[in-house]
Amino acid sequence: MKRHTGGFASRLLSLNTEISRWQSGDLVQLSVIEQALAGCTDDPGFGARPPAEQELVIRLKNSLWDLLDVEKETPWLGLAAQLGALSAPRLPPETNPAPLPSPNPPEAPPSTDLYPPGYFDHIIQDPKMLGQLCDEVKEHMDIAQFTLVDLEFDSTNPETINKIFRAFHTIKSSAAFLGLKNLEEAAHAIEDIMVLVRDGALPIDKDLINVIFYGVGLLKDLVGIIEMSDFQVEVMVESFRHIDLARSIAIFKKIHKDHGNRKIGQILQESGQLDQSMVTLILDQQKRTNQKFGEIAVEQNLISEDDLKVSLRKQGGGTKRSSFVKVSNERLNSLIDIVGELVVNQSMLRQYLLNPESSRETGDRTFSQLESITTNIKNLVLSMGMVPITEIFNKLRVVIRNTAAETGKTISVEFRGDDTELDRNVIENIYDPLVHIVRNAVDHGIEGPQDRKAAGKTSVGTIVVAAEHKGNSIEISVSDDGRGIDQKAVLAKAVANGLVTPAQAAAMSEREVYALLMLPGFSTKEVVTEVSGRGVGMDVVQQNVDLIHGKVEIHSQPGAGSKFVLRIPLTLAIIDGFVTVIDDIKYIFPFNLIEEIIVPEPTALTRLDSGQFLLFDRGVYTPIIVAADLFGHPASDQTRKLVIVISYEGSRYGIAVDAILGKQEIVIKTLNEALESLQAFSGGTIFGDGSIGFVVDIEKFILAARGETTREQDKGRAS
Amino acid sequence: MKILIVDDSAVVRTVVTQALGMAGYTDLAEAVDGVSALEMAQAPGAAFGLYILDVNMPRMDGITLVAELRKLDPRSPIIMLTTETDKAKMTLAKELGATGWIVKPFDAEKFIGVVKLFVKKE
Repeated sequence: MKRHTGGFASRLLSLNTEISRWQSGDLVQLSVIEQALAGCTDDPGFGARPPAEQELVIRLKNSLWDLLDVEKETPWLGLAAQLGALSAPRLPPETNPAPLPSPNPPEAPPSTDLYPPGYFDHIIQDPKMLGQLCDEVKEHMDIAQFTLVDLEFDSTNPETINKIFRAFHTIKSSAAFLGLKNLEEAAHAIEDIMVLVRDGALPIDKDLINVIFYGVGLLKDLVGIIEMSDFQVEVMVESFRHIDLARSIAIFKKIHKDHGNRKIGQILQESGQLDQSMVTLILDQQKRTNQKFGEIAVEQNLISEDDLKVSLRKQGGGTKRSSFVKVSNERLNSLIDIVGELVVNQSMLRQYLLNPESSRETGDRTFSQLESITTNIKNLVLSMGMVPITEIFNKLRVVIRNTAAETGKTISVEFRGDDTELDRNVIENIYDPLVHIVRNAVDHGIEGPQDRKAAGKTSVGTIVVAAEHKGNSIEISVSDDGRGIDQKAVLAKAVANGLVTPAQAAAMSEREVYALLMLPGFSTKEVVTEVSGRGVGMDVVQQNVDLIHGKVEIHSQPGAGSKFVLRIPLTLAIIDGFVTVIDDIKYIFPFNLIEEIIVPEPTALTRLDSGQFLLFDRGVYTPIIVAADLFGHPASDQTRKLVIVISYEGSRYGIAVDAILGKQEIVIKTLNEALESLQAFSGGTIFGDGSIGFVVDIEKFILAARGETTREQDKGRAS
Repeated sequence: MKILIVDDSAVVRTVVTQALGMAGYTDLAEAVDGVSALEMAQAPGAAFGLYILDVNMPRMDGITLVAELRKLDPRSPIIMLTTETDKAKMTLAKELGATGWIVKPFDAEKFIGVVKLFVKKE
């Protein structure tokens, strides 16, 4: 609500607030208080203030340095406390029928008058402006009336709701300018209700619409009085006094109170924008001035107006985010359309089945329609669990800025494809890897300004983070124009750390070299910088991405920069599976991990003493995991016909299977409790022919296989 | 007026120097720890009008330095640069004669506001 006591009261108020924030020795606060005091004495309205108040402010100003004196500090603050009493509102408390939470109710003498004394004292006697206001109110109330009728039919349209909100909002502020407190309060009370409606905290029903219609009528009546009075303030006030506005406003406020129970201070505190002391302070001030909490907070520069808006929106509802998913109207409508098609398709199928003369062609056509409908439904439903990657991008922006500041580098960042949507579960898993990659890019990739100049580059480094749909997966890439990855340094480090032998190192391809970066504990930078941390390498990235069946690729050109690409499946519920068969049971492996399929020559298989099989192919030995053993199949011919080679954590493993049915989209279903003990599976699936399959969790699978191997090795040594 | 800036962090010294420079104060001296600061203050002819001290420093910390400086110069203001976690030490620093404190990190404008306040007082 606008203050009617003018600018000076607010100066006193902010002075008072600043003083209450004083902590012994806080020099910044000292200068803030000094400025607040100067603000009061320099104000043109200062001379018109009561002498006691003037004297007090001047005394405080002249003895400001007492605040830094251990002995004089308390007396100074005692003096300042008198200011608090002076800056209490000159206006009588608002007519507010709802009991205030304040422990000290306003001590206004009981009055038979409907309005407190002075309530109408601030009306501006300006017929022209009053006339304009009347026209404005009538125009807005006409719009509100029309729109309310629309609202009865379509209660969800945000634009309709906004129109009504704006109508009352505009009237509120215009009325405040002209000192028409009654008009302002009434408009304000309805505006508050519309805020709740707009934010979804208050459902629209017939009763609510009637209440707002009543509000429209009320404002029109008030304006009618102004016009009837011929814009003579005394005349209109005389008529105003006979209208029991408080009762009407009490109705509006009750509706508001019943639905908007959460306190704004609580919300701001929860979101970390205000701490407890500030909240207490504002509440104190609120008791004295009847201002709105958020208004005080913004006025005192404790929060920005945008922060307030966000919190006000939260106040309206939307706190149960975890249990609900927002679905756009558009998507819901598409779903309804498709379900309509499905119903039609169903009756066509029935016709086809009932009619003995149906042609095979008709059947095919009907069925292919059904297929297309199912695909559409699947895509739509999946898209409802999707969230845009924007949120992550915004966090990465901060990470890059902070890391750049820590390392003294200037970096320009570009984000592309921020409207790309990802499964909410995927989003959770890619944030950490991305943070790691961008930090690496800033810390290790981008050179310092001097080095960049020496290399003939601009002193400002560039990082591009891009997200893009690629078929059934999302590709997120982080590119920098830094120094690139020094393959020789990587190899030297890998050899030094004993990860590879010099001979192996010499034979490695570019891709294999980069893969070394993702091995646990690998870090190329000799000097461990504060930013990238100790001992945490790219292996974290690999692990997280593996969890969501993704892939990491590294491209780099020495001197020109590097590019890290995360290839992530669109959703976790449906994977690209590679269906294999062992003893007539179907097992599904994640397709993205499959490197190749080998039909081994019997001579290519070597059996070690430990029982472990090795596959020798094109000069490379690959350990074979006999999946049949792990899955508990009865021991049979252990050399299966086919070996699928998967790549996991930089190692190759061969898995022996009987047959391969190929790549297929697999809808993962959770296994029931009895089957959950089967450690190597992430779920099951049902195929089109009704048969079932097990989806292999590759991480658990490899771990189980390794355990198996070591035990067998132990046995081998013992014998 | 000559100002002595004592902080073991080069970054903080630069920030303070730049802020003061922007406000027109260029007669500055810097020290990296309490001991060298004390030596500078004890040097013949040294007359600092303002001291700006870090709290945590090698060799001699800011709190000890306040006590030592007050023996030499009872008048000139001493501003402590503290972090939120140092704040508990400020009562002690004040008892030993520090004028007040500013929490790091601070923005240049507020910092200059404080320095100007002291200059105005003089």
